[in-house]
Amino acid sequence: MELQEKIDQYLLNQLSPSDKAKFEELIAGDVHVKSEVALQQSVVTALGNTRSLQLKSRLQNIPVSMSSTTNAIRMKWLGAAAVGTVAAGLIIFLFAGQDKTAEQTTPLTTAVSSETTTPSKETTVAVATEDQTSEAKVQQPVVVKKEKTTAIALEKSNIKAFDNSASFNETENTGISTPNSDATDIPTNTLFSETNNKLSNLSVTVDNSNLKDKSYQFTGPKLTLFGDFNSKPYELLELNNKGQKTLFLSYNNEYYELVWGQMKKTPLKKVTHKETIEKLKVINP
Amino acid sequence: MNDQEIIEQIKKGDESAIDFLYKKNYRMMVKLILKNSGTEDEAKDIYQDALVVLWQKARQPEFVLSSKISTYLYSVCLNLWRKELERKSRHSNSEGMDYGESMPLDEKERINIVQKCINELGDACKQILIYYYYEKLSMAEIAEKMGFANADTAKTKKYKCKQELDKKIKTQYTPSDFLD
Repeated sequence: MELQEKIDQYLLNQLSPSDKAKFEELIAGDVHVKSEVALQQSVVTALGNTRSLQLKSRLQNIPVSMSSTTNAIRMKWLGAAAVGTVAAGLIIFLFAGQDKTAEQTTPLTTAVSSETTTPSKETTVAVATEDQTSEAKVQQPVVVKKEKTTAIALEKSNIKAFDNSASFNETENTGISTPNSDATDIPTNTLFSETNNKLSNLSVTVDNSNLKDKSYQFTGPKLTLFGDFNSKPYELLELNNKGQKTLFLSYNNEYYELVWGQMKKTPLKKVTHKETIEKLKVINP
Repeated sequence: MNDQEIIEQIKKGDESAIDFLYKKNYRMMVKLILKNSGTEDEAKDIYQDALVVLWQKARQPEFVLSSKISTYLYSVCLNLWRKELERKSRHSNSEGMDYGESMPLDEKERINIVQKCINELGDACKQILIYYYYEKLSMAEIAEKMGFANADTAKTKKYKCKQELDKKIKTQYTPSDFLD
């Protein structure tokens, strides 16, 4: 019995270094002890296998599938597109009132990037929510005159982006490619170039260690919000005005302007410009 | 729940933490395998294995999270899938637990024998022994998880279960089977 207890302590790493060394000497010199330790080691390994199967079985019972996830996301996109249509309609209505030359709006059914649908004197209004996990980007472009506004609203829980800071050198030798998806197609360099100013690539984390001051910082495709941002939902909005994209944070009935790629921790400044606030209220009433 | 909170939950033995992670990163991990010639079932299997690896690592007291959990899982999935592809290329058909190429045959056989005996135990006994020998929980923790009155009860139960297991192993197989 004493031997069994000793073996247990040995396998559970509960022996002191000196006791461990003594016991290993005993193992080396006694065939019976050696076989008993090997047997008990097999018991631990087999229990580990049983545990692994238990955990896998637990996970297997969780309902997940690529198609159901995609459908759920599509539903979100459809919802977002509907919201976008309403927002676009509002903007059109506002601008139509100001400019009597406004042409009849023409909703498109196919997704068209706002960068490619900007013929001269015509601009595009597109509203879309961004989700790292989605395959397709759904936009509802509507042709209007003179104003180009892209509003991209994100819900807190929808913002996810893969941090590919890990080194996957091994895979290069075995021919495994990382998926060329929005989830992983993120630059590892510290500079956040203009081409990567996409909310789809953006992952947002909140650091609420200091609740008093509100500030923000970009690290590659990652935006960190410092301050108390967990008590109420926040939204990120992108206003595309006259070819320039500006990012805003909407929180607690206030708007803050964010500078894409700001690497330095910067205090958040409230937007005070009335016209900008009005535009933001149109897309985020 | 942030990454650190998830790891803390795992360290406490809260299995719902891996349920949460499974759902959260499912699409990303499965996509990785799909893009590398795998099926969704294979991807699920690999991803579940990766979560089990994370569970095992995070349960070790010395484990410190040095990257995002998603990054960690991503690299584990990649490595597991690479191994699976290598295994596939070596053997067109292979079934059962993979104990690693380096494990001697007699050791594999011994584990299979023990595994069979464990499977014959009642659920409670199996769980107590897993908690004690594999999860390395204290008797007080086992008592709490299993709903026993106290640590002494857990200790007595564990002793009886271990005796039952040893008896099963040693009555079915002679000690010489285990001699190297």
